[in-house]
Amino acid sequence: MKKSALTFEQRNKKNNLNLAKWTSAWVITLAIASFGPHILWQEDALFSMVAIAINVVVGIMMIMANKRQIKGMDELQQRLHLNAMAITLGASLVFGLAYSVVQSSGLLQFKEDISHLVLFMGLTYLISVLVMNKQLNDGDEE
Amino acid sequence: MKNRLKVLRAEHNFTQAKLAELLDVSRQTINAIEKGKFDPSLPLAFKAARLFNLTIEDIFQDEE
Repeated sequence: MKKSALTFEQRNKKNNLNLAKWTSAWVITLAIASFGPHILWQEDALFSMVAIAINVVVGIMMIMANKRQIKGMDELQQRLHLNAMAITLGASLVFGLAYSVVQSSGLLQFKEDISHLVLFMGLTYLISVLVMNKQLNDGDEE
Repeated sequence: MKNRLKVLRAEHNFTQAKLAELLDVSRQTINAIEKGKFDPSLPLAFKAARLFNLTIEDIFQDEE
């Protein structure tokens, strides 16, 4: 079995920091790609394409950093995050399609946006992790 | 699955944090195993057995 020179805590900290860096970079490049055409380069298509390409490349690096972070976790944390992902995927599918049916039947007049789905998924994931962590930590000692 | 991890930890005067460090896992994982909320994988069970110089069966027992 391959053994890292870093301790579990150090490895976790390093991976978290790495993920935070790539996530920040992705948010910044997304903001540049979104607002750049109006503010920075007056709708120039070439600049827009380059900005989107950079955003996608940085996004892929963020995905890799996320994968590394999960791989660096211990087995309990990995299981916890796997459960949170399953809940997020399931809730997005169920509520997303239910919303689609409600809207197509004309029961709801609300202008949806992709950001609402991202927000819903993010909050579902966060709440799932917090609830499962709380369940595990109930009666914690030390 | 029942286990004697808490007893063994006390016998060796380890804190949960120390045992977690020795087994390369989080303290939360040690706590969850001790409380029977989480069953460790075979590699982690072997690691614990090696650390305490025991067999896996000496530490973990099937509840059936």
